[in-house]
Amino acid sequence: MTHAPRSLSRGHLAATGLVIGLLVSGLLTGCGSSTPGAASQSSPAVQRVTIDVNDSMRFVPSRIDVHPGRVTITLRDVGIVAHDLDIPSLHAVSPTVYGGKTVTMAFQVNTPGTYAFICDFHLTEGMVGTLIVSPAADAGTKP
Amino acid sequence: MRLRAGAVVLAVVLPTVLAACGGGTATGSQPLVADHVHGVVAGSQSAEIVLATHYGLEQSEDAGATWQADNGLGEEMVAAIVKLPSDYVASLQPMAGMQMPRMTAANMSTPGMSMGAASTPNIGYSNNTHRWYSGQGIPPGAAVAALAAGSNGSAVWASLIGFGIYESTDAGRSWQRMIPAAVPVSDLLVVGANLLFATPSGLFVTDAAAPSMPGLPELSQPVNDMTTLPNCGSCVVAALGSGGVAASRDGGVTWRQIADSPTFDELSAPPATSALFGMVPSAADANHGVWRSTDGGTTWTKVLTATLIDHLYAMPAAAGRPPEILAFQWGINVFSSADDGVTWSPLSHIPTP
Repeated sequence: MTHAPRSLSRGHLAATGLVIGLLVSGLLTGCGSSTPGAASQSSPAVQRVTIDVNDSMRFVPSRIDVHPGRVTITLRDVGIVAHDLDIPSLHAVSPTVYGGKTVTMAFQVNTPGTYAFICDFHLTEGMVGTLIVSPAADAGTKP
Repeated sequence: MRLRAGAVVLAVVLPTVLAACGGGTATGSQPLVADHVHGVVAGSQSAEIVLATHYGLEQSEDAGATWQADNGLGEEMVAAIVKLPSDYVASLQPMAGMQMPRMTAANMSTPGMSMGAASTPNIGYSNNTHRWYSGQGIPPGAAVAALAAGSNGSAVWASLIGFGIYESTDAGRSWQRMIPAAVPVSDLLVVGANLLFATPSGLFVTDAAAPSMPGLPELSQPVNDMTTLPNCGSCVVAALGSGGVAASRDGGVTWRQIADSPTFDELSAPPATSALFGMVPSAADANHGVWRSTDGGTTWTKVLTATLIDHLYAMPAAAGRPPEILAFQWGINVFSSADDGVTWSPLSHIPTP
């Protein structure tokens, strides 16, 4: 198999790394709606996100961007292995989704921050993701 | 590539994994959870192997030919296990909202302080895999994403979802949080004096003796798995989430992509072998199967075509028995190779409890 060696050293990736470093440090910034995993908002009250789960034991996308409020996640199993989506710190767990099926979960998140979500069945296979809750653009203007 | 009876085995296995690992009590009409391996370690005897599985520990005393349940952790989902020179450390993953079999009272180190409940730690230690004791200092109920042995005989690391990275310097008996982190840390690896950890944002490196959260990742893309290479104490390879393999020869500080390989979910460089293996479990990926590299990950050859194989183990030579490599497929089916992973044959089957 052919290969194409590429430098991945820090010096060549400083700009990208800075952005990621800020994220990891919990220094949240605003999240654009074009970001993969960003919620669509069909009404002011509910933000809707669709996540695929697969037999590679991954969430696609593995990052969700929302604002405080009500969130509905549609979990779509595109493989044959069953999964779930658990946000431990919010005590929000989806039903188990089986191959070819879809389930939904809804939860309320009020506090901006970074929340890890996991598949309870495949956590140690690396099936994790991040829910980024950033302040609403009009934060502070609502009662 | 040669695989005797592989197609037959696959045909038998696939129906059982159609709803694999999915909590049998959640929906009555769905098939029960199909078992699979979460970790493989050596037992206390030369031909002994211990598996961490979805339904507790399994043990073989004959190099994987036959298996029996080790009831030391009941039928709990054992999410990870590591072997230290004189101890084992394991983590449990309770199923949120599901009724799972619990440990028996006889196996609890202290009443009310067992592992695997919302009010108890999910990490324990044992010197024989049969009787386990709870680690102290772990937030009760916290989900454990990864365990990794440290560089000396008593150090072990753990990542806890929502809490960060913890270290034990006494073989899992007590734990201290070393790096607070809200982001999930999905993998840990100690390479020399460095602690490497993977997040969805990339791979970070810190001094294991004085760990802290670096401001920048050393590898700025998701990593599916990483492993050290035998015979090179500072060499580590990583399977990239977008496909390909990256390598570092300085303990993870600098990286170079060395192959545009398939997207491996797991990497394994079993000790006592000369090869590096990459695994692609998903049937939806045309590259599914086990791949082998003999040049540290630069070039790859597919050696076993099968779905849902995600763990390997190197069985060292024992009395009258050559060294073998074992591969574990969901179901659980065990394949073996006696020629350093070039050809494979079905070896045994572990029925789901």
